Amino acid sequence: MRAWRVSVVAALLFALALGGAQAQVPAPQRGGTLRVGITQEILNLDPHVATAFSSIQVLDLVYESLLRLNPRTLELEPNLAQSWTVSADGLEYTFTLRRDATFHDGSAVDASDVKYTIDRILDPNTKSPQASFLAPVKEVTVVSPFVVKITLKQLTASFLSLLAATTRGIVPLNFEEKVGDPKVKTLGSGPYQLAEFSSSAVRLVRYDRYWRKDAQGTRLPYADSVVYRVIPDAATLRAALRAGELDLIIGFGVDVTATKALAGVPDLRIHSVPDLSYSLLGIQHERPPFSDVRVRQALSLAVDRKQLIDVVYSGRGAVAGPIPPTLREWQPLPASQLPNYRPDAARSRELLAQAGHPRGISIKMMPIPTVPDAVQIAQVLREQLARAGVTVEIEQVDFATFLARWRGSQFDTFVSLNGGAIDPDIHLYRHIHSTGSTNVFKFRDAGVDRLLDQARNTVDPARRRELYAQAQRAIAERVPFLFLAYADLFAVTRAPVQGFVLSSTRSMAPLAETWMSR
Amino acid sequence: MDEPLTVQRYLLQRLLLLGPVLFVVSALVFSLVHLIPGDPAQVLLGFENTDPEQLERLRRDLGLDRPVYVQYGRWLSRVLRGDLGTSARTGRPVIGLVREALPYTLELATYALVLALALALPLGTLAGTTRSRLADAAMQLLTLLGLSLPAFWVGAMLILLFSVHLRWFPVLTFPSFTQAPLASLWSFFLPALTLATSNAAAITRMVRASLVAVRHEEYIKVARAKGLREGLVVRRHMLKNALIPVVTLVGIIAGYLLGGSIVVEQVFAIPGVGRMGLLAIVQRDYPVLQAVVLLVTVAFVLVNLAVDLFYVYLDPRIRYG
Repeated sequence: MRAWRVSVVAALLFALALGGAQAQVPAPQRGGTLRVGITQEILNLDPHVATAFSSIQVLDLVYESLLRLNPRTLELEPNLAQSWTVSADGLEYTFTLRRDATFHDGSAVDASDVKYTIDRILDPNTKSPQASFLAPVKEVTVVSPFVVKITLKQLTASFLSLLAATTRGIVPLNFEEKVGDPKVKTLGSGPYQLAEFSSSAVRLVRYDRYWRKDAQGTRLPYADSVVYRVIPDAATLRAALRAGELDLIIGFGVDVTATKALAGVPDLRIHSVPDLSYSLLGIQHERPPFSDVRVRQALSLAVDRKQLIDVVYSGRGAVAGPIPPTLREWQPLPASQLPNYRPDAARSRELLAQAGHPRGISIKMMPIPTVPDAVQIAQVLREQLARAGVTVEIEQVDFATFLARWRGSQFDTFVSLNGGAIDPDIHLYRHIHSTGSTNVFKFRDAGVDRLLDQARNTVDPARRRELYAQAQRAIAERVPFLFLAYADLFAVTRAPVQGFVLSSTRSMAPLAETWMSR
Repeated sequence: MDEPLTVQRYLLQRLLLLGPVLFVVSALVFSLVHLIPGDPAQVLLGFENTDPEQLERLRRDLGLDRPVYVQYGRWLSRVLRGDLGTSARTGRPVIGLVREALPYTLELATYALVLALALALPLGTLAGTTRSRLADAAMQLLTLLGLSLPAFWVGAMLILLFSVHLRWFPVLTFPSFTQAPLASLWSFFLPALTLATSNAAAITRMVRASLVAVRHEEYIKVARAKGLREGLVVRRHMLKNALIPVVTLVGIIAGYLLGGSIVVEQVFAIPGVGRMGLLAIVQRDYPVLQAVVLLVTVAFVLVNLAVDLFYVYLDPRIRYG
């Protein structure tokens, strides 16, 4: 309840701020096509099954979840659910749905659709990778046509945040029969509906009966259509933007190097925002010598994160620990207060010697091939770790091999990017808790487990913050893996593109409020 | 004593050989990709979770829990019934994906080959017949450049110059040839030129070398002695004889081009067969990869058959047997 009131106040303030800002800028114009360039192929369009980031970038405009994240403030806001209450024991969430939301076939979004959606995600036959997120759900009950109750098995403080995701988007009852093949066809309630789909291009057209309106009461979205084009080569992507064939470029390949190359070009605007995702050095704890915490601490002390950010990201990023600096609400500890964060090669060597490795150690490091910076990060780490007597051999593998070895915990160390989340529970638990769904590191620490479990089951925000302050220190102390950097995220638009908001969550939902000036 | 094989019988024999060739190639590729780590079920689940049960369910659905030879047998029996299967990665029928990608590659390959020949035949002839050492050296240097400049660089430079600065050519639009032939030829020009560059250089060198080889043959002297004009000597007597190794080379090049050029398709964002094959390898999409392999093999065999037939036209002394 309290979190909800806070977010409503925030939303009101935000609306006021937006109203004030819009006094100076021209009124949004309707019509036109937004042409978005991305570098990765668009695969499956089933919101509950898709894992490719490019698929989700498209689905952000087609499907809607019960709640949404404000793209600027990252606050939870009502979406398909216009209000909700939580029972005193914190186990029952009752959502009242808005009555003006409809699916693209014209039918209303109602409680039976919400029940169907959650049941579908949890059904093993759907094989939804999202099922693990909704594991706390015990059952979903339709109370009345527009009221739905979700009962949880255990207290889950992050539950509302879990519902605010395109990948948990609401689909109509009997979705699969209605849509035919959800991998290539869509039936959502979002601002755009699918018109054409191939793996290299997707065209979305405006859904005229979309419910959301802007501050002036004008129906959204503004643009008639949105076209996503897949351009695998980053240089070609930039060229197409400069040639006026794209209006917006975003995603892998649109990084600090790319934006530098475009810096002097007139009529382009570079957007940037701190990312919630972070680069990491993953460590396999069951393999010696990493089972010894002193060795992991030695690795952390040998790494100069600031220098890494300067070299790889041209300084555009933040040194940080377990909680992203963007989530100020959760009081992320600055690097200066985290143990094992101040670079100290001498201390690092000392710890290695204490752990029985006076002549240093040799380790293998596997960078993920799909993240352009990963190899460079591995190279910088190799140089930095050498100072502490750690010899690094970089193993370059292809994507499927990386995935297989990641999944099977067959690595010494790897360099990759972990997706972030607005709630610290979603952000940390799955990677760090001994039962976490993606704890490929085999990190097991009873103390850290206890803190993460307590924080998960504590609903009071002040108490939760306290627990996460302890958890951050404990994690930095025990070193499940190295949090390296939260780099800045970039997008570039052409001058006629107005109102685009680049969100730390990488959501493309703000395109509904983006327009082209003519 | 055997009667020389007729063209028809030769053709039949070669086409019958296509079956075993396809079988061997597809079995080889099938077992090779299964040897490397990773499978489509893992790729489909991505980094979201590591639940082994979910992986097993997905593997069962995709038939990946069976031994490789069983998987191959199933695939083969489906293909023999004309069903290329379903892409593991996208869940879409492979035939549809091939139908989407093939027109791009066909047009690009044909276009590039025509451009390469249009450049290589005159240049090679010039280099092979000129008496100016300077012209010959210049041509050698030019072709050396053409061979050594990487396609991704040539492509990027062409885009920067002609699309970004001069704005003559679009970067991303590739209309279909059947719907808008002129616009299509216009937009495919830069990728086709990129793809043609190195091939044109190779063919030019081959034409030159072959012409130099026949230049001093007796029959050329005879032709000149008959008082034929130089142009006619080159065209009718030198080129026709010199072209045989050239045609062989062009056949091989055409086979490669029809398999799709990964680099050029990547640089120009053309969703053709090469890119499809690359993604299929990277993401272990076995059914798609097998379809691409079949396609490339068939194209290779057929093009080389056409080349063999073309020899007869060039040199009627050639017999099949």
